[in-house]
Amino acid sequence: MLCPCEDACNRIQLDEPLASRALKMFVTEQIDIDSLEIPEITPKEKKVAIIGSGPAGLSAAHDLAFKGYSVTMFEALPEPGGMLRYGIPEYRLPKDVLRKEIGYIQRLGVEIKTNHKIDTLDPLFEQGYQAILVTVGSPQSVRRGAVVSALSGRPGLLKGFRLESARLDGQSLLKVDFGTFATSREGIFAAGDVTTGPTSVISAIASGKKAARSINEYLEGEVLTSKEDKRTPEKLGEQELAALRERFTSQNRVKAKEIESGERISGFEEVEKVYSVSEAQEEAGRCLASQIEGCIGCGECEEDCEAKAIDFSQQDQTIEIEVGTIIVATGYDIFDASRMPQYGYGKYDNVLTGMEFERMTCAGGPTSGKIQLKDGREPESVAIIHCVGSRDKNYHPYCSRVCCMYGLKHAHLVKELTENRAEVYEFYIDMRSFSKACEEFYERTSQEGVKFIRGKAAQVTDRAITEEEKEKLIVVAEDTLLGQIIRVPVDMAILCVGMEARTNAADVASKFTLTQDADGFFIETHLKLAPMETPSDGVFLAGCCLGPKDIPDTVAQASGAAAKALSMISKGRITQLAATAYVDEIICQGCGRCEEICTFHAPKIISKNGSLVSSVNEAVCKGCGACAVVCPTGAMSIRHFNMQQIESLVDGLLEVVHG
Amino acid sequence: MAEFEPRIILFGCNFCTYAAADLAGTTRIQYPPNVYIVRMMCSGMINPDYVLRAFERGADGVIVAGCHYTDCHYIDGPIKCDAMFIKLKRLVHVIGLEDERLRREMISTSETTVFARIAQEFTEQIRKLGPSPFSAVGEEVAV
Amino acid sequence: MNLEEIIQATKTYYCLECGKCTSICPVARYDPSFSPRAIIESVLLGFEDELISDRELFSCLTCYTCSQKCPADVDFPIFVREARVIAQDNGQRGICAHSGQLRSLPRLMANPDIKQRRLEWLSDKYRISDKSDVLLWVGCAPYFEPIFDDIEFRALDITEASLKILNFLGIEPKLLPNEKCCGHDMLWTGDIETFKKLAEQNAAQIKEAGVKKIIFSCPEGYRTFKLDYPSYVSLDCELQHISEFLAEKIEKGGLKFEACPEHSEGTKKKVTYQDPCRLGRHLGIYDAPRKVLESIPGIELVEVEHNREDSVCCGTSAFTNCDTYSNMVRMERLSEAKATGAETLITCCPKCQTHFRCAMVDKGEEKRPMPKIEIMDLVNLVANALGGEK
Repeated sequence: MLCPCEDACNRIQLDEPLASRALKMFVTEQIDIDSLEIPEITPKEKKVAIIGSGPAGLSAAHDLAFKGYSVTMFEALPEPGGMLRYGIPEYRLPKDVLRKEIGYIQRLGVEIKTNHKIDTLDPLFEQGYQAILVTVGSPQSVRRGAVVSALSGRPGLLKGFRLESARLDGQSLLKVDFGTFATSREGIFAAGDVTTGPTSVISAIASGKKAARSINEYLEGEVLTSKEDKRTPEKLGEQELAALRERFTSQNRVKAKEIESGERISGFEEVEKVYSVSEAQEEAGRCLASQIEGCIGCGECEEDCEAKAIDFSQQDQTIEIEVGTIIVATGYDIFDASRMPQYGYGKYDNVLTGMEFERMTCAGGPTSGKIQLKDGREPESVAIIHCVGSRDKNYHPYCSRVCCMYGLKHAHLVKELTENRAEVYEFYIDMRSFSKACEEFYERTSQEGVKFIRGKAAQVTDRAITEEEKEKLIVVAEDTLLGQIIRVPVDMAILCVGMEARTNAADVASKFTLTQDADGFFIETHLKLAPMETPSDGVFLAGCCLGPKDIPDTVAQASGAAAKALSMISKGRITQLAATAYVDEIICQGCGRCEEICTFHAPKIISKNGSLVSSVNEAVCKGCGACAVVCPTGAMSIRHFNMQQIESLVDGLLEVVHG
Repeated sequence: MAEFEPRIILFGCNFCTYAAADLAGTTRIQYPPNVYIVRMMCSGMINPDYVLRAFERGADGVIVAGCHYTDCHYIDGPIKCDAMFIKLKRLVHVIGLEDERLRREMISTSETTVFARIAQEFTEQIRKLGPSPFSAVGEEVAV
Repeated sequence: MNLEEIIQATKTYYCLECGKCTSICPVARYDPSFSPRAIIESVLLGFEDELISDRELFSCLTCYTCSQKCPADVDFPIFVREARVIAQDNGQRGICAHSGQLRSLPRLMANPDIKQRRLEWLSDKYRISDKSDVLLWVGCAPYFEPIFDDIEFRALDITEASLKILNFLGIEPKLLPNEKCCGHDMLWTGDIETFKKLAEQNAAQIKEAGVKKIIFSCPEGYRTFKLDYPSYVSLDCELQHISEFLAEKIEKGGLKFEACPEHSEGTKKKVTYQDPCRLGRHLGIYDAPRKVLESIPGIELVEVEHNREDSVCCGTSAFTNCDTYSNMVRMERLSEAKATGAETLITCCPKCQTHFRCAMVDKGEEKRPMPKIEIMDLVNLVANALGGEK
């Protein structure tokens, strides 16, 4: 029987769900709860009474105690625990463990009064409790009949509480709002099986925790906000599943070494043994979330954020803003190095792209800035390979401009972060270090002991030929200055991947009437005379969407685009072309052919005086004349190029008769 | 009898073809004087009726010219011109003019020698073909 | 003619200023600046300059709705037609739709030296004969094809259907490979010179062909040959619209239809009919097409509210001044058609069909509120209902 979290686990759609329960057990086994530190809790001057010390009550007590409330539990039976003690056998939940867990809760300050039956709740308010939680469980939960006597007289019990009841399957239950767990009386809450009838320990614990949340809101004087969570776990779609099946081989869950069945029969010890560290790591590695990049929507950040800056319930909104100028700065994509299988990206553990290496050296990154191989060791040697996917007619013929410099930067970082322990080899065709201080940086890097090899690396392989190549990545290249083919064994290879146009560039281009060059980058109106402009007045371009460039150049372009945009806006008016389209509104029938054909979206069909006519936005019209050609009625004309003018031109030219 | 001198009208776009013709002129490239150029802003601006009228007025040949596909100042003018040209060609064919009298060309700003070559070739082609049936009509200017 | 002569010839001076013409004119219904009565009044008062320089003169559909009801028997359409000649000479020619291509083409055709290629669409599905004494007039259909392809109208479908019908009836007609435009649009927009040339060339070709009968599928061509050519050329043939030809055949018992293909057992296909101005009010032919429709089993004709002499024009004449009011006239007409509950609107005129189809096309994001209905020419309906070999 799987538990709810395992039922919901999406891995079930691939092979077997994650063994969440076993993993959690592994985690808890690492801690000795008896010696677990009690954190600093700021006490609140409020008291909460909890009736019943089963799983629901105990969970609520734990959470409320953490919030600083003074909690007292009233338990009718001689020992606390409810179903945990009396309903679950030793081999499933050892009493020893239960004692320790409850002990921890008591160490938090929760007082548990056993042999203490509560018949009515009002005296508790008089005793100074500001909120009461009823978690007395349901009689049907008791299957073994061990303590029926203690819970007999139940209908009377619930009546004594003077709370609205609900009947379900012949049971007497307490009626609560399943979002807030509030009962019919203010200040009294209920959770667990007493509200639902028999469920599982998990559900009882969950409802106890939710009730604790509501009680906290209530005692803080806030409006109870919790809503019943009706969400069902999202299942993966067919496409996602297909993609995942391609990425992950099927792998059933790791089984912890079970006790031999011989041993099993002898005692009441737990059958399922706890994972070892490596078993736990392996099983945890099956979690898809650990492999999927990006947000998985777990909600932890929202809970933790003290500024309440995160709101998962926010929906996408489409907002329409009217603007006078637009700057398109949609950036670039990295060349996908797996398109060049000879470099082993995605195949070998220690082949990285320049971007990935950048992240590694970042102090806030996954390794806190340490350069390390997949197995955690510091590399002894690093190869940096230039022109991956660039200057290559098979991929991108253009030079990606920034890679030589970032290759040098990475070389420098390796030297610095390994305190010169690592060897660095730069495989280049040309060193393009043209910007300010770049030539000097090149020289400095060379002086730091970085070895420059002129030759484009042909291959990165792990097939060792000699002894010293074993367990290494070997970079094969021709050193063109020596005229020799060399094999350089290294621990890590960094691929200087180039920049390429984004995959959705064509879509962006059509939205903003931009043109693209053969490589997909946007084209400016003129490289020298109008560098950030586009055929549409008011739409400007900046940055890498125009082509690869580094940050200083990008910032300069951005400033330029901003300046042009500002100069347009600040004038307060625009100078329009003289030759624009205009409509004879009586002749126009509003058929829409002009709207359909215009690349610049200048004519729009609007309703005027009860009929449809075309209306030309003169600020946007470029005067290309296409609309006038398709206009069936002759309503559309272009100033200075109307039919009569051109016809007269033609007539005039042909009036000249030869001979 | 005077030798037949073809009269050719070339409709060309301002930014490419017309500029090429202009540049051909200033760089002293020789081309026949038979080609008269009508400047349009874009080849997409060329109305089929302009061409029909040119033939009606006695043009012996007409060239519809503009930018190459990726060069258009208005982005996709050449494509619009192509769509118009298909219909125009059909009309010129049915009316009974020889298909060779109508031509579609793409000439970019720097292609001055291409412009001159096309002007030269087309003039010779039309010369061989002879005057259009409308040549005589050219003098009568109807409304 | 000068204006004084036109006034005399068309009895314009008889005008009573009653305003009946304007009140029933389809254009005046929508165009506030157009009024036949006001035009006549201004002319009679001597404001000639306005008449011939205003483009309003070209808004008249020459549909004869006015003159038919005029108590004083003023021939307004002819008045307009003649006045347009003067207007043309003075530089006003109305707004030409479709960039003026449909005026350039007749002018190009008026050249006697051209050899057109108008019959390339002809396939060996159809049988024609050089020796026949029946001529099928093809008209502008081969030129319409490239110009109107975006409203999905192929005028040659009408020509082909006409051929199919004639072949079915055992006639292998002659087709003129260098047929010239009948000149209707030239005549009605004031270009008399071009019209004369076209008429003369057509008459010469017909004489040389030696045919005795010409069948038209287009009412405009038919009207022009029948009523206008005699003033300029002599023709020695019988002229007939194909609907008249079919009605005759049906009456004499030479033509029986199979069931209309779309008709299933027990149900009839409801159609309605548009009386073209040139066939109806100009030539008085109302019954022939109806006789044909009634003879096709499985077809039920439901008349529009305004039919026969009262039928509403399709909204544009001679591809001139096609404007927002033309659109409104078409809206009116199509609404009437739709209100009959008919599935299909049958026309007898390729011009009517062109204009209605164009009205029903929406290219912009804003949809025009035009009722949509299937449109078919009478001959296409007939061709579909012919059945097996006779």
